[in-house]
Amino acid sequence: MTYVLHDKRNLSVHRIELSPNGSLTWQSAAIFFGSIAAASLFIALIFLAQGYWPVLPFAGLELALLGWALWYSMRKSRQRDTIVLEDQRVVVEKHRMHSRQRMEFPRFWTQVRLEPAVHRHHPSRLLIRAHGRGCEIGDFLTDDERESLRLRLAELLAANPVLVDGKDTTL
Amino acid sequence: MSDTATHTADHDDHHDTPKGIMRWLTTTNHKDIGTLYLLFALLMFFVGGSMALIIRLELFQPGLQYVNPEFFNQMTTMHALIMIFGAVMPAFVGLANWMIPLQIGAPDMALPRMNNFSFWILPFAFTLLLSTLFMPGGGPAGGWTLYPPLVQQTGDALPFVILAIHLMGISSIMGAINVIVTIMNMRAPGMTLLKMPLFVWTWLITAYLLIAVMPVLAGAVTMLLTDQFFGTTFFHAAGGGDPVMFQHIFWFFGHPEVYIMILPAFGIVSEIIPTFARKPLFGYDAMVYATASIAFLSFIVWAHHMFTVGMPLAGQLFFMFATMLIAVPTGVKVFNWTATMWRGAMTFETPMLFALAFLFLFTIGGFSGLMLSIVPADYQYHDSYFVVAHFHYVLVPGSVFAIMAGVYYWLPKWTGHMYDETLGKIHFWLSVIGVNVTFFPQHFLGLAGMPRRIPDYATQFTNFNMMSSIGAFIFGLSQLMFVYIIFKTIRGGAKASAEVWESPTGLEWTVPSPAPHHTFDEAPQVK
Repeated sequence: MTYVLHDKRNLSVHRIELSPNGSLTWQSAAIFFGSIAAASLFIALIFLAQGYWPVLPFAGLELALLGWALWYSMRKSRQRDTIVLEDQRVVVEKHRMHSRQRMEFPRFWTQVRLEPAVHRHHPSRLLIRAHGRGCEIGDFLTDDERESLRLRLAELLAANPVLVDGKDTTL
Repeated sequence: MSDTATHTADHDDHHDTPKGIMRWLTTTNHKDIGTLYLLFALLMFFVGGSMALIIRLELFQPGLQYVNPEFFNQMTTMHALIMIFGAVMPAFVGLANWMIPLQIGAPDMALPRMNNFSFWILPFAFTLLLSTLFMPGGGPAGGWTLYPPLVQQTGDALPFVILAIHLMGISSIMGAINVIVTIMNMRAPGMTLLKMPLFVWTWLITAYLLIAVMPVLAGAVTMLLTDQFFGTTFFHAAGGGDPVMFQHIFWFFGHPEVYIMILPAFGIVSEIIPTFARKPLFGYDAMVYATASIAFLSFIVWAHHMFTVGMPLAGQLFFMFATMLIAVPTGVKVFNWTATMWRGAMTFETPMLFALAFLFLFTIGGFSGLMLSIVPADYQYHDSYFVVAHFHYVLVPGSVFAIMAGVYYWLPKWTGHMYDETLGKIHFWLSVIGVNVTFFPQHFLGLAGMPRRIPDYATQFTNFNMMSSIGAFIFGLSQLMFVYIIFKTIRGGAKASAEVWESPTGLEWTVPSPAPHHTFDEAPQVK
C-alpha cells in the first residue's frame, strides 16, 4: 500500500486522511546521507591533499543534490489530503509542500469522479466537485487505490443521497 | 469558506495530456522513461557494435585494408565510450526505472522530473560525442581511458569529448540519486531492506558506487581540460605534474565503474535463476553481503590496471592480494546460484539460458581476471589481447547477456505479450556461439603476444583473428534478431498472465501484464 488511510467516524462526521507512504525517518535519512557523504568527501579530500582539488567541488555539488533529493522526497511524503464529510458539507483540505488548500462543497450536490488515464502508462485522476468547482484528490495514490477511494467516498456520499458520476447511487 | 486559499476551478475536466512526441519528451512516468532508456541503449548498442565490426573487419587479415590507423584508433575509443556509457549503463538504468518501483511497491520513482531530465541529457551527450568524428583531427583516439599526454594530441574534439563525458556523468548521478531516494523512502510498508529483491539491492549498492566515484571522473577530465587550455600542469611533467597520477585517478573511478556495470547483472541473474529452478534463492543474506563486499573491495584494487607503470613492491603486493580477495565474494555468488539450481525443477526458457550462459562465461572472465591480478603474470599479459578477451568476457556474456536475460524475463510484464520462444532460443544460441568464437581466440592471441589497439599485426596471428572477426559478425548480425523479437512482442503475441512464469516471486508479478500505471491489484503484502 502506498498510502495511509485514516477513516474515522465520529458521530455524524466522517474523516478520511490520505498520505503517501514514506519508508525513511529523518534520523535514518541523516545516517544514510552521512555515510555516503563521509565516503565521497573522504575520497575528495585525499585527492585535495595530493593537490588534485577539482574533485572536491564536484563531490560537493553532487552531495548537495543528493541531500536536496532526500529532503524533497521526505517532505513530499508528508503531503496529506483530508476529506471530512459532515451532514451538510464536504470539506477537502490539501496539504502540499508549499501550499495548503481548503475547499467546501454542499454534500447533497457533491460528485466523485474517476477520470481514466489518457495513456496506458499515465495515471487516472480522482475528482471531487460540485456546482462547477472541484479539485483533484489522492494524486499520490496508485490507480487501484484511487478506485477503492472513489468507491469508499461513493458509499459514504450515497448514505446521504447524492449523485456519483452523475447517477443517483442511493443504497 | 476557509481561512486559507479558496480554490475555485482547481481543475477543469479536460486535462491536456501531451500526445505524440511531446508525450515522450515531457513524460515523468517511470515506465515511459524506462522504455526510453532501454530503446536508447539498444540504439547505442548498435552504434557501438557497428564500430566493433569496423574494427573486426580491419583485423580480419593483416595489413591495412579498409581504414587508416587514425580512424581505427578513433573506433576503438568511441566503441568503448559508447558501449559503457551509452549502452550498458543506460540499459541498467532503464531496467531500474521499470522494475524498482514495481518491485518495492512504489507508485513511481521519487523524483519524476529529474528522471525525465536525466534521460534527455543522454541524446545530447552522445550526439556531441559522435559529432567529434567529423571535427578537424577526428574524434578521440587515445582510448577510453583518456591517458595524458596522448589524449591531449586530440584535435578540436577534446573539449567536446570532455563536455560529453560531463553530461553523461550528470545523467548517471541524477539517475543514481533517483534510485537511492526511491529505494530508501518509497518501499511499501513491511518491505525492510533485507526483504528487498536482489535486483533492488544490487542497484542500491551500484548507485552508492556511482555517487562515490563520478566526482572523481568529473575532476579528472576537468583537469585534462585545464591542462590543455588554462595553463595548469596537473598532469604535465614539464610543469611539475605527474601523468601517471592521471592513471591512478582514472582507475580509482574506473574500477568501481567495472562493478557498476556488473552488480545489477548479478541482481538480474539472482531474480531469474530461482524462477526457473523453482526454488528460493540460496543464501539471500550472503548474496547481499557479498555484493556489498565486492563494492567495498572495488575501491582498493584500482592499481591492478597499471602494474607496469612501476610502483613499490609493497604496492604491487597489496593490489595483487586485494584483487585476488574479490574472488571470495564473487565465488560466494557463483556457488549460491549453483546451489539454487541444485535439485531444482529446472526449465530452460530463453531468460534462463541467458542467465546460465552468464554464469558459465562470466566465470571464465572472472578467472582470467584472477590470472591478470598476479603481478609477474600481468607483466606478460598487460596491453595484450588477453586483456581484451578478459574484459569482453566480463562485459558481453556478463553484463550484456544479463541485460538480455532481464529483457526476455520482464518483456511479457512490460508488453502483456509473450515473446516468441523459438526465436528467443535461436537468438540465444547464435549469441552464445558468436561471443565465444569472437573472444575465446583472443586469449590465445594475447598469450602469443599480440598487442591490443593495433590496426595491423604480424602474420602468425592471422588465423585466430579471422576466427574472431567471423564470430563478431555472427554475434553482431544475430542482434538484429533481438530487435525483431522485441518489436514483434510489442506488437502482439500470446497474452501473458500476471505471473507470466510458473510461480515467480516478487511484487512485480502481482500486477497484471502489461503492468498498469504504477498500481497493484491489491495492496502488496510483504511478509
